[in-house]
Amino acid sequence: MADPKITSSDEVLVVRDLCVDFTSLHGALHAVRGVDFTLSRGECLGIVGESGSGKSVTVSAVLGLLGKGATVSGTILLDGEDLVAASFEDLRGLRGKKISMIFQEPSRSFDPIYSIGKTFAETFRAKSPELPDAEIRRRSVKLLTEVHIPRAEERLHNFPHQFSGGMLQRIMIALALANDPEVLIADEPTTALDVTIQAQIVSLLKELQQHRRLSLIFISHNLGLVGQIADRILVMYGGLVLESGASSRVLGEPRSPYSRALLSALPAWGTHYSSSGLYTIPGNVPDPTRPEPGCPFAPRCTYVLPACTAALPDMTMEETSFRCVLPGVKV
Amino acid sequence: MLAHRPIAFASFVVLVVLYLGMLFAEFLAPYGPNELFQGHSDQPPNLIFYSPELGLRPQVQTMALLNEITQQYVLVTGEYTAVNLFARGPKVKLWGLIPISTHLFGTDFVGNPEGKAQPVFVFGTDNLGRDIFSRILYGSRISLTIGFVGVTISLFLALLFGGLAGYFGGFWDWITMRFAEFIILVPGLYLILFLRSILSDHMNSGQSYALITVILSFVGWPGTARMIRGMVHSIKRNDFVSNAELESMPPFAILFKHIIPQMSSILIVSVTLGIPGFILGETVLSYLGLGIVDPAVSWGSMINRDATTISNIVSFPWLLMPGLFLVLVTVSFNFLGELLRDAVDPNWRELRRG
Amino acid sequence: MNPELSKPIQHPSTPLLRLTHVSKAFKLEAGLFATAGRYVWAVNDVSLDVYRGETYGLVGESGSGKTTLARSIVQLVRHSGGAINYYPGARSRLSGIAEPWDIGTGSRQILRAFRTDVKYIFQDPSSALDPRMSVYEILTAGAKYGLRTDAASNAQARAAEVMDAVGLRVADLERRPAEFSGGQRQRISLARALFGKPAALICDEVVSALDVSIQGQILNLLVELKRQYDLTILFIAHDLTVVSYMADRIGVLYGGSLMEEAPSDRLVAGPLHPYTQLLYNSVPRLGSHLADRAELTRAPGTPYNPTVMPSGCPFSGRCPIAQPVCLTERPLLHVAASSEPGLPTHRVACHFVD
Repeated sequence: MADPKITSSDEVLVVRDLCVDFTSLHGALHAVRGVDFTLSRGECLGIVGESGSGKSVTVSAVLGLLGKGATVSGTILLDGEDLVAASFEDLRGLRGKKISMIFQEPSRSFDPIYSIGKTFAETFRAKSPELPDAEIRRRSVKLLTEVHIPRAEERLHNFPHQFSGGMLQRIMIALALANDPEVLIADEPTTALDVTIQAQIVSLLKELQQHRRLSLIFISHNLGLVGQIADRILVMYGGLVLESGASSRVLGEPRSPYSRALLSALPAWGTHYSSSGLYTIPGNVPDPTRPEPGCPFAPRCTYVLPACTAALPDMTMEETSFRCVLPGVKV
Repeated sequence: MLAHRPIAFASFVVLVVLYLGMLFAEFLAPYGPNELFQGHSDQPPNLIFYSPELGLRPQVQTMALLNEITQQYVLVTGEYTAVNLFARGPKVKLWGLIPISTHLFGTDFVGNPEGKAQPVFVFGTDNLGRDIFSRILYGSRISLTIGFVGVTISLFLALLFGGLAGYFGGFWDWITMRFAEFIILVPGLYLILFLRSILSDHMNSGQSYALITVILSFVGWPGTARMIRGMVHSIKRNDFVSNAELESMPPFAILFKHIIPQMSSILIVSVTLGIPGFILGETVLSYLGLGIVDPAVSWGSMINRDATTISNIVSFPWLLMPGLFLVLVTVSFNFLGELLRDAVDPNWRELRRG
Repeated sequence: MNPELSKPIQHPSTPLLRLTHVSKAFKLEAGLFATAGRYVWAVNDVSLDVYRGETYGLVGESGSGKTTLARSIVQLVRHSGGAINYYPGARSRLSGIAEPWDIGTGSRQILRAFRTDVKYIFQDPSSALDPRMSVYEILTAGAKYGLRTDAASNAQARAAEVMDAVGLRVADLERRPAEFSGGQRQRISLARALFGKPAALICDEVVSALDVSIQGQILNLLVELKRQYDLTILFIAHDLTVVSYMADRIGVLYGGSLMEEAPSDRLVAGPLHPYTQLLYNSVPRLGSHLADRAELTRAPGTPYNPTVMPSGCPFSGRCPIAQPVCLTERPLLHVAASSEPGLPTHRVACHFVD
């Protein structure tokens, strides 16, 4: 196995063979079962998966947010620095400064009794305690303007309940960028928002990514949405990566039956029930406490073969990397 | 399920034994609750299981009074009385209906008070020479049932007011809760004393029992009502309640068929914790002399009259036995309540199955 | 592919359900110290018809009033103004009462009959089913209080029939909701609605809470059930792609008012109202990058504030073509010039669209 320290300076985040297990009443819960990916500088990586796919657990593991009940193994290198072995203090220093995260429910991410200005001050002071008030205010206004919040100076005095969901999410993004991180992780940032606001947030993220040379990880269950912003896409299911590759490739010519099923699961724009039925995936998402030995999607796959359940297929590297025994399975 | 939880199982067994004991008190108790044994006042427990003379069997060693002032007894060597199972005892009527004269155990004392045979006092006697064990058994009738009756009345009132307030909201909610808060504001003990004092104190035991139960229920319902009201408010928001409305179910049916069952685990815990609360409430009342009075007997009244001074307790520690039973009952109800709550909770059951 | 379903629906003279100028205002503050006279206009003057056998899609974002409107139809909330009329037609369960039935002011009998005919499916599978009842009890509970239908008399057979129709096993009748996944619970909700042989279903965001791979299953099921039971469906969602797939006609709601209404294919081919266009541009579509449509999606300005007395167009704060008249004069729904005769009309509410 290659020495993990030797990474290209262009790769800001390298994850190899990441496994996360939780202890629970039912025994071990295998949330992530061996995930590999690389995030290049300035790139946007989209991670798509349903509930139980392990996508949120993967990024939480990167940030060290999982807590004592979780066992994390594998390699996570942020700019060459090993995060799995890092101490609590080191991780805390990195969060916000090098790598930042925004979450799904903006209304629940703010302390309701603090004004936005105070929240910004707290964020700045966490990394630079000696900053004077005037400087903090100047930087806060600059950030709010960057995320297109009008009348920023005034609005610093407002409280979270005085903003709409979409505006709160913008403020959340601003806060995440306060200490100039290199990597921003967005975990389902638009799931709780209206579709028109969703489009605005995704545009904003794209804009910020380009202006700041930010490396972005965008997580969602909506493959179409991820396709709007991601350069590369990772499709996760049952704790494993089933396909990964360039966004256009994964969406245009998916090789894994799961990716294909995900794309056809929801109606395509412009179709109607009278003329086309929906291809649906039968069955339910797998149980993380009882992982099957073979491919996690095998119980629901139309093309399933005995080889699929015997052992976990390796990743086949072609235009996209995918985990499937069937070679040229075309649509 | 009981098999998985040994403590809860033990508690269940204990409670079953105690309630059976209460049910068959006349049969299980060797003597009546007010039977005076002359010359045996303040006698320590005398049941032993071995002696050289009679071998390995339940028996009683004769005790003689050493000092009349301090009521100290000494064992008389060599004199033993056998304790027999299903012995003849005083004539009593089981449940006031069936006359029996056979008791679970006893000695030949009953037929022959002047002879050598000694009466058996499992927990000793009080200052009038009455058998504590028998009194505990007869006293359990009041102490153990007052819990159930009181909790039933209290819970009914709490469900009624709390449920109405929570479901209908608005004005009814406001007026019910102000009423409940008013009762809570008045210090419970003073309210009880007040209620007790304005009513005649020349009542027989049955009437005083009923009165105590009503008073305790009246003071107890507002706390539970407030909790129920809060829960009804939040359960009401669930879509299945809206759906029941759409199925044209009348409000009371929705309340009792859909809303209240969701609270069953809370209610069971509330009930099983409430029962010892009522038992203790009766104990407190009786301890203050406002509850059960002689000749009626309850655990509280026993503690009231016997375990009153430190010197009493130090000299005659067996007088604390009713207190031990109270602790046993309270703890058993707590464990049983936990078990019942988990048994009724559908999520817990699903968790176990996995 | 069903050739019958692809023909445009010629509307008969009477619809199944007719909403005329329906409004709903909520008091802004509640309680004793509330400021009087301040309201939230959740639904403001909505008029639409739903015809027998069609699927009417209502699309709107949060705050558009779609859920309030749906709940007003079944009277889970009472509307403040306007009329909701139901035309049961040949399937009338109440003889002797002439149609239309006024749902808001009609008798309790009418409301019960209406609620048996039109069933509401809730969004959240985890709160739509009573967790302490078995599936069989959930299915049959409504038969007791609603208007007596032939379904009630043979509950077991009917229960088995609907379970089969929604793709669940008859053996599942004994189980409890906690043992099922989200998608399966929505199926149970559908089975419950179908039990009494309704004429119409109101589906309020029924797939929004489900995983992507399960949503398709439920949508397919709805299409199948509609065909099998000859149902009329009011399909409410915030996702224009899903609504345009499922619906024959679509109504676009914003700020409590209908902005546009058209047959599904016409709306998708060419939306007329600026808000519909914004929705249309915001939908993530494969093959086109949002970044390219950035300006179209950036509608900044003030979002609709429902606490201000509505005057003018609710979308005026965000509309790219807004003029001063939009702030003062509310545009009424008028038939668009491009609407084809003989087909369902294309209506739009904007001063600047013909």
